[in-house]
Amino acid sequence: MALIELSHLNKGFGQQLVLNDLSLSLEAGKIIGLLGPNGCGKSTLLKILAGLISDYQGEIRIDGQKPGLYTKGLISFLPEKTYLSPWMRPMDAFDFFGDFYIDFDRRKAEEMLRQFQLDLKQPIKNMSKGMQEKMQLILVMARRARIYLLDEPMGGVDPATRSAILDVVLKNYQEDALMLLATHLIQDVERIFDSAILLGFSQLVMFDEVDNIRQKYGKSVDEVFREVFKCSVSL
Amino acid sequence: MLGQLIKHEFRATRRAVPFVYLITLAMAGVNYLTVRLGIQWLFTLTMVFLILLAVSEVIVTYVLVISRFYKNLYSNEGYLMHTLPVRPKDLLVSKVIVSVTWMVASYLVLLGVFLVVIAAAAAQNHQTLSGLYDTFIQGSGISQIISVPLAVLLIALYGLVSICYVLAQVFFSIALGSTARFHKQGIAGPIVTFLVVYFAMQLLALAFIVLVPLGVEFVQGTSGQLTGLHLVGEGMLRMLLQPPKTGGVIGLGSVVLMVLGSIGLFFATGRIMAKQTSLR
Repeated sequence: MALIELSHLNKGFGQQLVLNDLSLSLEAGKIIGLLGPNGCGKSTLLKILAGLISDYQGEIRIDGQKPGLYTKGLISFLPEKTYLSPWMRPMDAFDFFGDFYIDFDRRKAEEMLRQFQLDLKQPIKNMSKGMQEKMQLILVMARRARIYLLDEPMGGVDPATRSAILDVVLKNYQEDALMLLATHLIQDVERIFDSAILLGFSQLVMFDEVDNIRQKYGKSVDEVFREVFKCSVSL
Repeated sequence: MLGQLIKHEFRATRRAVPFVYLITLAMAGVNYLTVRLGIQWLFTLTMVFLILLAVSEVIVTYVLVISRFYKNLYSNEGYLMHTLPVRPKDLLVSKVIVSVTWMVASYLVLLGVFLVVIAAAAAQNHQTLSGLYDTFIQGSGISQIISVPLAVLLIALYGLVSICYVLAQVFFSIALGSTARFHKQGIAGPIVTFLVVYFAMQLLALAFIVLVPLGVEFVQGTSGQLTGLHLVGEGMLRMLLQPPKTGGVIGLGSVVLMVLGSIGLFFATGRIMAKQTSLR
């Protein structure tokens, strides 16, 4: 049975339709790449699933339920933005997550914090952008969630940190969970994908297993992406 | 989960709000000290500062709790708060409880400051605060019209309702002004929404004062002094149509609106948070 089921999902902002009649069925135990050019609706889709956008049309079922109180408990969401208050320190954030999520593993979080060489008492406002991203990733991956939604987890970090982030994601990902990872850095990440969803032009362009895509086109997912969404630039 | 939300809300706000109270209370202490030391020019100076500080302390508290509501629910921090496994109405209730608590505390600080100022002024004239109180109660004759504890209770209740009414209008405006249809307007969305809501509620208040059959009739004696207050089942409509020679009725419809409006606006805010949330 699908863990996430989307049926004829539509979402627009003003006159602009971002998601147009999107239907998908996503099963547990997979890491799925959510790929597409800027403004194609990747973040919007993740926000709808996380319960941050509720004015959409169409049907969504997460573990058989509409997005709400129950589904928020299943989902561990990493947004693009820094959502922690500037005054918070990692220890405050751990207290906060521990109070609201029964699946939050504080020991695991502290271990990851040491791994990333972050200080338990350093306020978020004194951290660099990269450190803040690591901090949020720790909070998200320290949960034993059934669904992980990661929106550009490596957006603003250097290549070495990208590699460390990927290691943390893989090490802490639950085998029976579903992970949807939206990214532009396909080349760096495609090795961990089981499947890939290509969104573009407000619609679903492709949804297949990564092995099938490589076999069918004889190219990597990154190359297929560049071909599908290529745009001509005259210099 | 409501308890956890309230706990973390206090934890987040406790570093900013009480700081404002401490500054005000410290200034009140300095003011009182100047009287004890008999430094007249410093007393006048600190008293002016103190009154300004006490009034701005209430305004600053309003600004802090309102900006906290917006920032925590509708800016980047909203990405955390709206994905918590809690009901949207619990998010709202926790914000209301904590905001009202801080506002009540700010008014108590304001009251405390005024008592210090009056006590200091009385001390300069070799009087005491309790002496001034007795003079006021006897001179005004208020104790013959209404029992003093009841009057204090009614004023406190009115203050509480007023705080809730202001917060209800602001929180509703922020929630509505942050929905998808106002995204292009940015922060102007909640501000314009508030201006519209405020104007509409003022018009409604006027209608309620005149039309709702609930008021206080004040009775005047032959020399014009106040001799009685009675609750009556009429608003100000009759008084406006046929102005009486003495006494009159003050419509309490606005109080009814404040109670009903607060409940209605908080309810609508909860519905918007549950059904129309759309973070940028």
